[in-house]
Amino acid sequence: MTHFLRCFSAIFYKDLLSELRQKEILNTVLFFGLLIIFIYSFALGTDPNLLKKMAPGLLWLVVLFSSILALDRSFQSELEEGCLDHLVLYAASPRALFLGKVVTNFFTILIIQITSAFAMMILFDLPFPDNFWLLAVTFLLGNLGLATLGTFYAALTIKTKARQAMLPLLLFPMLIPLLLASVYATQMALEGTLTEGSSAWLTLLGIYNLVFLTACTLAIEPLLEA
Amino acid sequence: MKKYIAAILALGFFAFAQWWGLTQTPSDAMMGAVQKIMYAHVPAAWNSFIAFFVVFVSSLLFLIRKKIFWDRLAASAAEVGVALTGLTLCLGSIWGRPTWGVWWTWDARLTTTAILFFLYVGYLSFRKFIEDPEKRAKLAAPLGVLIFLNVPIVYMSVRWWRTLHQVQSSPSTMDPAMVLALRLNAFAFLGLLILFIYWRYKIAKRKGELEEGL
Repeated sequence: MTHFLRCFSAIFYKDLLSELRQKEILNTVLFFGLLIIFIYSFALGTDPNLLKKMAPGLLWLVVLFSSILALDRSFQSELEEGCLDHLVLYAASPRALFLGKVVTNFFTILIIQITSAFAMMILFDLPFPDNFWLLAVTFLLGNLGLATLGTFYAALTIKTKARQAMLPLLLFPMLIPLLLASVYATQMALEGTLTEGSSAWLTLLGIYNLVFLTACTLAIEPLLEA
Repeated sequence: MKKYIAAILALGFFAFAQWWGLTQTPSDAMMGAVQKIMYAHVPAAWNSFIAFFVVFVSSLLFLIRKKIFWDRLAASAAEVGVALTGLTLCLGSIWGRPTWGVWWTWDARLTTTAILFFLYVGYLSFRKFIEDPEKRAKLAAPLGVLIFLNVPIVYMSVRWWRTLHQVQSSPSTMDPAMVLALRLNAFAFLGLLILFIYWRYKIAKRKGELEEGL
């Protein structure tokens, strides 16, 4: 068990260090997210009421598109120089490797999300959320699901030929419940009106995370050894 | 001749059940003849769920047993399931236009079926991009399991999102002749489902043997 935890934290530390030194994901992906938010105004017009109404959906779309880029990197960098095979051989279990990557991706997506949310608040003139804690819980739960399935699908698609097209094609339909729940919970948090309905969406997010965190952790072993 | 008996039986029964549905049942009081689409639409939908359940069980069994048989069965069932889901969506659209006045609406069951279609098309195209059969089997099996786990969650979430689909008719609200025709057609489609999966499995097996021989 301690060995498992050590492997898990070693993977997390390694990825974090590599990211802090290279700043590859943060520099490109954060800028990409900002760019999309900027471009939204050209595509949708600058009517502040319209943008305010659509803000929750637009926010999660930016997060979805930006995190695809980050998720894709998380295993691609291992594949270069054949690191992935060595990691699978060295690590206590592929599960530690997988969970370490999930945690790294979770923090990456969180940074993307907070930055995008701030950028949207400034550019779209959104007020400070009425229900801040609901927003925070929604962000955390939504990100966990996104990081779990995203990491799993990144590990899956890394072995195929058309990797970059394959990841969103497989991942996006799987994320539809997560997207629905996150968008509506975010909307309720921003408007602060329909707070009763939000607990149903949060429960759905919780169930979603529980099911897929368990299933992905169980299924990752044969996958990484393939 | 002998090997075609199953095919002739299944196709013959299918033709008979469709003929029965079209001619031996009363027309719907409100919808008229358009309602006859039900005898293909509903059985196709039911049987596509059976096909996807077969994908789930075979994928799970592959993960446990590691026999290539289960992988081939999962792939065959997924293909037939996608074909039936596509048929369900097309027929539903044709029925929806005169009945609801629109080709498409964001109702819970429609949307779930469309999402299922995307998920399994993704599964099939994922398989196409891996050449090594052993690797393909190992990678596709977890995917087949995960997709199926998502189905109830997708349905729940979309149902909370919005609902418009007419309440399902139950045998008590339908004319007995309609119920009989619907059941006949459900079994006819089941026969087709088994036949198609069997054919697809045989092709997959021969392809596999060919790959091994090379």
